[in-house]
Amino acid sequence: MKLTVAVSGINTIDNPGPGAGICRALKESGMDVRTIGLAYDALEPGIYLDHIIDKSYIMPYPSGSREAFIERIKDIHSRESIDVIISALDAELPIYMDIEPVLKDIGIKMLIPSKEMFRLRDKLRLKELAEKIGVKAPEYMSCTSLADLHNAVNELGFPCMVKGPFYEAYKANSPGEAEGYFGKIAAAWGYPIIVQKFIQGDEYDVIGCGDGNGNDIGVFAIRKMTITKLGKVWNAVSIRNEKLIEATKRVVKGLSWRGGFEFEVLLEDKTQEIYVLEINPRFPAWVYFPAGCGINLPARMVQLLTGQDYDTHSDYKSGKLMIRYTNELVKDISDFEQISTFGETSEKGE
Amino acid sequence: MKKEYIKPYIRKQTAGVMNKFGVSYNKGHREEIEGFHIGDFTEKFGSPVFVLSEKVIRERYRKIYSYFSSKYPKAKMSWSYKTNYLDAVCSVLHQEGETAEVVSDFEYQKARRLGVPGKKIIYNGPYKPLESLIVAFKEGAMVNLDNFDEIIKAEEAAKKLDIKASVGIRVNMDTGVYPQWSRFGFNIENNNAFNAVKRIQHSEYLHLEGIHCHIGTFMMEPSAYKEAVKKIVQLMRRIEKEFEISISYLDFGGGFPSKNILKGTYLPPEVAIQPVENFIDAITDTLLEELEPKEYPEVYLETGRAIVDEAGWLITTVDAVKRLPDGTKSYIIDAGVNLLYTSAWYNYHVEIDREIHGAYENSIIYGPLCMNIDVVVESAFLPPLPKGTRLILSPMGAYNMTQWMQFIRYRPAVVMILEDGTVEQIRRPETLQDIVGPESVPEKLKRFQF
Amino acid sequence: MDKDKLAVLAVSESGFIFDPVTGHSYTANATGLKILELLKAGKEPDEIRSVLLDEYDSTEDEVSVDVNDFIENLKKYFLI
Repeated sequence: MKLTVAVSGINTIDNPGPGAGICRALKESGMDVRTIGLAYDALEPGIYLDHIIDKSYIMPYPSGSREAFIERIKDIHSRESIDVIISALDAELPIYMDIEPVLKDIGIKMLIPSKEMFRLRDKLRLKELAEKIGVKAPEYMSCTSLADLHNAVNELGFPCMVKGPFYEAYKANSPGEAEGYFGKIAAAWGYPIIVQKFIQGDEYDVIGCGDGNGNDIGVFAIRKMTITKLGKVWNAVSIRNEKLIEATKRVVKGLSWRGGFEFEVLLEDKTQEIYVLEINPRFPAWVYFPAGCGINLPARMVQLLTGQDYDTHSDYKSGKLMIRYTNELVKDISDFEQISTFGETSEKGE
Repeated sequence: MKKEYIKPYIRKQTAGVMNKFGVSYNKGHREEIEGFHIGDFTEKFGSPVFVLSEKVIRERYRKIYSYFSSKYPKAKMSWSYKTNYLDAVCSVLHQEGETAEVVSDFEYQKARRLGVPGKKIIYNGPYKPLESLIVAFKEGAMVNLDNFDEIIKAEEAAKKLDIKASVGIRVNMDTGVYPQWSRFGFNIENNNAFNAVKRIQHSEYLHLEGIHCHIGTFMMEPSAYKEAVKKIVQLMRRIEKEFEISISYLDFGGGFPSKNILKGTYLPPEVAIQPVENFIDAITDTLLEELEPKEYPEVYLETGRAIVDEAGWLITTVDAVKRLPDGTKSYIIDAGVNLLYTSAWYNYHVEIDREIHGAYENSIIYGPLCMNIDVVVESAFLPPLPKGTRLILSPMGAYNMTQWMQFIRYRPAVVMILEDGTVEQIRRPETLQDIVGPESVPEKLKRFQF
Repeated sequence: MDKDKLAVLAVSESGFIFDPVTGHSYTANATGLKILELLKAGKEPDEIRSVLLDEYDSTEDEVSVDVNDFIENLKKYFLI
């Protein structure tokens, strides 16, 4: 069976999206998959990675109109017959949740959370969620003005984390720094902005995928070894921490989670207690790492959606190392001309 | 045969914003509103012109009321005058059965003049002159008091009439949303609200009938209403027990959002704004959970924006096209912030009245006032508009026709598309006489010579 | 008007323009390309206006505002 899977988030930049990793995992799964990249900018590197992404299209921004977004997908679908879309960006997920029934009607399947699940994992409701799954949540306050920010930092003290509604998190050590980050995040992503108490400990991450009925179809845990200035994991090691895996399973069960996710936690140094930092409602950028260790979540997701058999085990080895590196491609300005003027890449070999 | 002319453009490609489509992929335009051609409105009523739809107002109201009343047995709705107090708009909603919710003596008088009996008026707000309280008590209005000084004032008014007046109190509380509207009413958490009730019940001239709250405006999160309902029911129980009285109404105010785009939000409103049913669910589900059927009080909603905002448009005309020194495209239209107070917090939906070819670019839309602050839309993604293009801005039905001001220019016509398929002017454009009528010049200033 | 910079531009029919000296790229529509071509050929704004009016269905007022705007844009990009 030949399948066509469209994937967003192919911006493999210093704050990378998971799209290229998803496509690579699909290509190496043994399935016969045509991969379509959905990009928002003509310089998203994934567009030029034609060894893993067969063709790319430019999409209108998700902040525009819903109709425009649907129209563009229908246009691409009419030429590509898309079987599955894997959405991989926080900012576009709400629009996909909204239009999923429309896509289903035209034969495109997605495994994404419902609006209710999505709301439950909202950063503003972490406390509620943490209680539900039996872990802790760091104190936080949400801010929509500078006055709120001052109030929050007085309450929570320094250092503290300043976080955006979709992306970006910074550690602030002073009111000046906090204000700087606040302005920077608000300008890019709007409100509310979250100020969170800083807890001394190590950051861990679990990737997984829920089937929507309370079961996971595989989970994989790592310790972040190095992270970038933007807070993105750069090097990581796979671990097997049963306490953490169990907490992850409780998340999947408790929310009946549907789709890929990243469960970001912090293990406090002195107590080893689990603090939930965030639940990202999509695969993280390092999604290829588990695939390379035998837990190919994008492939399992596609198999589930298209009615094929799929694995659900989480049998992987601890001590596998992920080394991310940068690389340069050489392309021609005409490749850029193609995507920037026509909104799509040319077919391979054309 | 000459070729079709498309305005020329050249644009430098800049890293980070190289998206062929930007936010606008389908380049639609709008030629009509409910079957009436855009040009017909301006030809007949001038430009700019506000357009309201009777049909949409009724549909929005019925949708909300029927859902609300299907979820709670004693559901009541009261029209928030400040949202839009044009007589025709209020009349549509009074015909639907809404009472009047007013926040000043002016609004009170306007509702009375329109034929609303005092008993069908809810009188809210942080400032109510003594004379207006006397009238409201005499006519049997529902009065919700805001502060201790107002309790004393209300007592004085009732004493003058020698009656025992029924009053409600407005309360505020932490519902988990920021900013907390703590300036209106009595706070629940610090016991202020309870003390206010104590003071009222001690009075010979007052007794407590209801509790009112209004937790914020353009609320995005229904769960805040859930919190509000819980806290108010708790307070109600405590009051009923302590003073052996029965509260006959709870009023949860308004604050539900419309599909306007609040500045600082990223997602389009179809996606970011939860349906109004979710807000009503938060209120009614919590009420049904917390209350016994025998104690169901009347429950009021004062929904304004969620009913009328999407029933209004402003048609305006591009008067000039200008490229700013920094290269930004800008347009000057004939409606400014004098008419569009809400432009301070909304990014309006901008539509054009015809198909225009050419490259879209981010453009600024300026109003006609000789004032630097007169920016109607900070950034709209538009094709090259020729002078004379009509822009249709929306949603416009809420707050603009009440917060507009006569500043520099006259206020334009407001028309309503009626359900029978006709269009009627419901407020004519202002004339010089409307503005200078109240003025007078001292005798010695009357003559001057150049 | 300095035409040297215009002369080196690699102009594609798609409307894509690449400046091999600065590395900047631009996009233009058909009318834009036409004006660019005329400028490259050394035409003055007045001549460009009349060429456009001959070829396209428009008014003198509109074309002259647009040609000025286009040239202003090229100045802004330091292309002339």
